[in-house]
Amino acid sequence: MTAQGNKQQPLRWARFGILGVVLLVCFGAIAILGFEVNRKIKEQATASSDNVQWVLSQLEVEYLSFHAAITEAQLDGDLGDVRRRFDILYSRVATFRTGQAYETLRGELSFANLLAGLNAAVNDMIPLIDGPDEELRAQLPELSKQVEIVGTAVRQIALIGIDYFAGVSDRSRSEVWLTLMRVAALTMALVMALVILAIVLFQLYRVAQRNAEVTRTTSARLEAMVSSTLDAVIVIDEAGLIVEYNGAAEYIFGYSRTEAIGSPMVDMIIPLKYRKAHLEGMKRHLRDGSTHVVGRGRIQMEALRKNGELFPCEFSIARAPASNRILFVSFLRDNSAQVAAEQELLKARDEALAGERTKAEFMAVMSHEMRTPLNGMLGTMELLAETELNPRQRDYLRIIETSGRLLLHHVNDVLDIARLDAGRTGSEKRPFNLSVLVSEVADGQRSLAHANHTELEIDLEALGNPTVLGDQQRLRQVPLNLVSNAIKFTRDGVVRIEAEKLGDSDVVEFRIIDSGIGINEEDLDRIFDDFVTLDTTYAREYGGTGLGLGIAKRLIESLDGAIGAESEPGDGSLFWFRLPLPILSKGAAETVEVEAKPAPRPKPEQSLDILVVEDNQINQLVVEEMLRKEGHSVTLTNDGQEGVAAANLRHYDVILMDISMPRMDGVAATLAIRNGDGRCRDTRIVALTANAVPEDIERFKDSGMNDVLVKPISRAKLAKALSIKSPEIIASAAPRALPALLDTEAVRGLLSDLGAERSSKLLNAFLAETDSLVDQFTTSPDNDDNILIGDIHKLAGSASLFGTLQFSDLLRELEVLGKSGRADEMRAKLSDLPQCWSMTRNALEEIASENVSQ
Amino acid sequence: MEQSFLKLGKIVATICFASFSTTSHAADLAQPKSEIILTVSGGIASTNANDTAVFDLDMIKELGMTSIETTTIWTEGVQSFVGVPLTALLEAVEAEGTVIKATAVNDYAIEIPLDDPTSTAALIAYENNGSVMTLRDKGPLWIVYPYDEAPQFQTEVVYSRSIWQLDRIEITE
Repeated sequence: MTAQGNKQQPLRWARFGILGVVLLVCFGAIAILGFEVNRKIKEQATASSDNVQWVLSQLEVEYLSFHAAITEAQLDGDLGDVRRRFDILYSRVATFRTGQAYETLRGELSFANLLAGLNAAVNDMIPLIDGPDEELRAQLPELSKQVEIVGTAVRQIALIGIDYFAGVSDRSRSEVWLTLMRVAALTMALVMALVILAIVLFQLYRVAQRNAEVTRTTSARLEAMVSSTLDAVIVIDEAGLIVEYNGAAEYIFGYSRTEAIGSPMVDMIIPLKYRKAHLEGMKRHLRDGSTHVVGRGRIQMEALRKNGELFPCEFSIARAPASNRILFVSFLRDNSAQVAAEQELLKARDEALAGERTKAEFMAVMSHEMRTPLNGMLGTMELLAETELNPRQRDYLRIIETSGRLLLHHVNDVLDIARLDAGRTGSEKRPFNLSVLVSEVADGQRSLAHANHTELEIDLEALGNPTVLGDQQRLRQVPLNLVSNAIKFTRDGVVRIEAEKLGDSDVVEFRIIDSGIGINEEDLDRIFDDFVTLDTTYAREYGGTGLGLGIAKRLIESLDGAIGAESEPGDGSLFWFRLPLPILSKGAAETVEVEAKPAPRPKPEQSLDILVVEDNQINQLVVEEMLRKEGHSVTLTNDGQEGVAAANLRHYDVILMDISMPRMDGVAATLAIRNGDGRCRDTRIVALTANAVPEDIERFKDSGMNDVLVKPISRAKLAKALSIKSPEIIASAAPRALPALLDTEAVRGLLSDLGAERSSKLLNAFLAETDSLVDQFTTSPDNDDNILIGDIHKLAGSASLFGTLQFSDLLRELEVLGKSGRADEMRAKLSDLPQCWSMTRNALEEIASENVSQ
Repeated sequence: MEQSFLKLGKIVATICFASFSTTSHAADLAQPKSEIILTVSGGIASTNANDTAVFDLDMIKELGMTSIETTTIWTEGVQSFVGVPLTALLEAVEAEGTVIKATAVNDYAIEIPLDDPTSTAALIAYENNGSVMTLRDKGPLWIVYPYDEAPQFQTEVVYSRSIWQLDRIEITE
């Protein structure tokens, strides 16, 4: 119903009301008139006029009879008849005089006069009539005369009476006629009203018909919409029975329209697990109108097909108030295709990601697998070089070694890419001398440059000699790759390294400029891509995976820097990179440890008893040979289990532990040794690994390893790894190998970062706090294990912040013991703390004083 | 309904009549001792003068005494009538007929069909307002109806049947 229709409604009822009133009035009037007519007719029926008139006319008859009786009596002398006729006449006159029917007539003056005259005349006759017979008989002629005198009056009375009553009848008739006319008029009015009513009703009917037509078109249109929509449309009533169900619904759910209409929706399309919730929701909604779905827009859910298949769908429900009940209209869309497509897309993405991961893993594994035999080859060649060889053999060996090292270099490149892509390398910032770093890189490449008759120049004047904070290891690789690249493509020219600080910022820019063959402009964009080798001639001559620049770019980006190149073909190229390197100090006051280039092999101070746990036969051979050359005694085992067994049997000074081994890997073996009761429980364990990812190294150290030796192993590296501990063994009689007291570099970095004032303040606070805690731990440790562990953990945190190694290791060990349920052991070991702390404290104070003096 | 009750009443009356007539003499009616004021003729079983039954005032008075208070169109004010019901007279003469013909002294005559319900209310009055009616007062006998009692007694027919100065009745089939 439209709003207009609503407005018309009262108007229409008013019209009906008026018509009704008119009809009622007509009916009422007709009824009243009907009564009136009825009364009139009854009046006619009860009217006494006929009888009255008859009586009037009879007056003259009685008069004449009386006169005739007198005349007769004069002839035969019969007086009885005279008397009787008189009495009758008398009674007639009396009737006129007293009868109520004649009352109005008596109002007529002429009638009254005549009647009075007649009455007087009759009364005058009474004495004679009632008198004796003789007198009457004698007076008969006289009486006759008297009677004749009143004859005219009698006639007049009758005539007037009849005239009068005729008039009365006429009036009465005309009244009846008038009433009947009124009835007729009212009937006409009634008929007219009925006709008008009929017309009005007809018009209303026409309007209703038009409205019905409009409604029909509207609903036909709606029906067309509903039936042609691709969404299922289901309408249910408040009892949950389906009222409307379109073609799309038939298609989606599989129920036909006839099946669906009148059936409870919940049993048809709602999956079993949702039915209870649906019914409760419906009940709740009908009770208080609260809802989770009605009018809440699109909702994702599952629906049930006739064949029992569940499918994802999207639907919305609206409440439609109908005339006397509530309807719920629901539009539902079959989302199974969309969901399937989404899942397919997800699957494709997952597969692609998995592919990427697999690729990276494959590359890492491959390079690892390649490095292990390569290490074997290179190690063996090193050993071979020390045997008696003729010059030719030595020449061959040099070629093999060069090729082997190049191959190793490539493999390392690939591994670097894989590592960087895997994003597993965290940045580690430490202070270092930038000039030294650049010099080292240049020194390393100088021989290569000379081979190409190329000069290698360094210009760091603009930079000065600063100590900066940054990730030295990563940064070193970038100029290294760029310089080596520049040298490759430069003959008889110059490669120049420049570095300067940009303005007031922390950003330092490096430029590597060569006078080489240059790069075409169109190639400049892709030179940083992986596996790009521009000139096959040079590439073939020098080898190269084409990964060098890709690695450089990744590294620089990981250090928040940028890299780029400019070039003029034939004139040479300029590669630049810039990155933030906060300058800590301008001068080179510190001596930065620099690894000696032609590292002289450190001589071992003492011969060590070494256990080698290594599954690879070649590696076993190489390591054994190298160690024996240094004067150590070597025991070989083939895997972790054998290693643990050997370590339990007798004491070794050092254990070299390979990581990936069959049966039991290095980490597990180390844990077994450290947690066991064997004689090597406290022996220094050095990991041998080709995988030197920082996380792994952390993991190795957590398992109890003291150091990590990254393959390939050279005698120099091996000697260094062993020599770190050697002085300690001499210095302390303790069989246990301990790490250095402090990470001096870290402590110095921290102190210089903070500034003299703050750092001494902080350091003093740390020293005081630790003094008190260590004292507390040894004299009166907390009874609650958890509180004690918490305190130890806290102390371990600050201890490692201040770069302590042995001390924080000990604290961490205590914490691990406590947390692994070995609180007794933890408490027993607390007594180790004071000695370790006093040593660490001394070392710290020493560095602090040197910092202050600086 | 009313009609059928009346018919039933009439039949009962007739039966009573019949049983009464068998146990009484046909000439049970006494002889009038004074002036005869009414002569009943026609279908009657009870007679006292040849084939007719004649009555003087005392004989009529003996038949019963019923009174009516009513106005009439011929008189002024409420009238008190005393008389014998028509039915009582018919019973007394053991009438056998359906119509009576009543005639007045001046030979005015009317007919009363006995199956007309109004006929049972008809009263043959001999006293008006406590006095015996003379011929001058529409006497000696006047058939009156209780006009005020119901509209059915106010019709022209009933008025015409209200015969005064009545002196003859004839019972016809």
